[in-house]
Amino acid sequence: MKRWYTSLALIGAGAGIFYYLLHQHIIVIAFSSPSYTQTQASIQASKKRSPLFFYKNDSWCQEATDLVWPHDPHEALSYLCNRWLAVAAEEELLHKKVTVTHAFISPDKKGYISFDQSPFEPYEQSIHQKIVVIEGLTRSVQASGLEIDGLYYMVNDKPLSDYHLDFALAWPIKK
Amino acid sequence: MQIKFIVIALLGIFSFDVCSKQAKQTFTLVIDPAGDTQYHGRIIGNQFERNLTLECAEFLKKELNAIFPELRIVLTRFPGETPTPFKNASFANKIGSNLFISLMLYQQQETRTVAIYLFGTQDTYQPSASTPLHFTPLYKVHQPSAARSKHYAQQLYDQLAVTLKKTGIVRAPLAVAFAPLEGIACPAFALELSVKNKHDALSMTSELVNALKDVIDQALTTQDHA
Repeated sequence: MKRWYTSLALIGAGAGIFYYLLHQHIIVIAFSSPSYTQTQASIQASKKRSPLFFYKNDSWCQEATDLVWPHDPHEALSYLCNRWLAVAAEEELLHKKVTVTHAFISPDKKGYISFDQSPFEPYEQSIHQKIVVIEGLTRSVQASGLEIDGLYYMVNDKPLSDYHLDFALAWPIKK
Repeated sequence: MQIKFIVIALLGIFSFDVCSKQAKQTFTLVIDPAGDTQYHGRIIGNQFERNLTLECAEFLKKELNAIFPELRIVLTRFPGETPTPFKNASFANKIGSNLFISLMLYQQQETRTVAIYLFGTQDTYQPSASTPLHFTPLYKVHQPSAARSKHYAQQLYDQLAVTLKKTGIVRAPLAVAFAPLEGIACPAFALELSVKNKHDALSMTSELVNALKDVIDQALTTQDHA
């Protein structure tokens, strides 16, 4: 009887440890999955020169950059935004490394950009500093030639939450 | 005896009518100091923005009431209040406010800066003339008074640009999707001031009083009443 309880306890402990290792991705079980083949369209890209806009020293400046421009407009939007964010971080216009996780252009010409975290410092930055970050990115998207009328800025697929600016509304792209 | 009673009753009705008409014509200014219990705001020295904006708003109220005794000035919050989303807009619309000013502060040791913001979106307002009752989306409520908001903001900017010409920067009014001004039906704008500390904040607020004086004066004289 005692041996039976001991065996049961050891099996339970082993199962628990195995489940923990699986949950923490220390052990990974790869099941056979259907194979995907990339279509020719999604990997096509071309070189494109597009300006990136930044607000520095109380004025707007633009930096012409060579971009590897995907033919898919959704990927192009994502690539452009990530490029802008990378340059902004290098120029110390952003105080943290922010990336775009998802980007999408809807049929009614609205762009949806989802960041992995908020690009703002909520307890330090002025409203003007927040606006020029968003406006710089917006102007860069406008200058790229993508057919977009407005941009929705999001974090983790939810509207970017800010005390001063309402991102539930589309940020306009001025023509 | 009956005639005396009738005369007194008529006088009472007449005085009530005069008083009610005067009450309707009272110009109401709503001041919204930034921050609440959920958002303490930016750090200024050893204080949070929400405490300092409340002090500045109370100072502004006292100074403006001294200049315009007939003005009714209402603050949107008191210490410890937790407003729900759009509570300030709902409150301002319900009391029939004539002007709404949102006040914000942040710390900056270098140049003094004043920025003026309005609520604005891409969409244009198309009032429904066919039905007297209709729902207006929250982000379009401001549009009937957008022109006046812009006019008052521009007037304030012109005043401040002269006052702070040598000591600071004044940014021209900018219309963006400004959350604290969303849903407000009366003319509304927001002011964001950069300050070094509490003393600087009160000093900037007193300069603001002089600039706002002309804006309110014009609003009163043009009989911009609800």
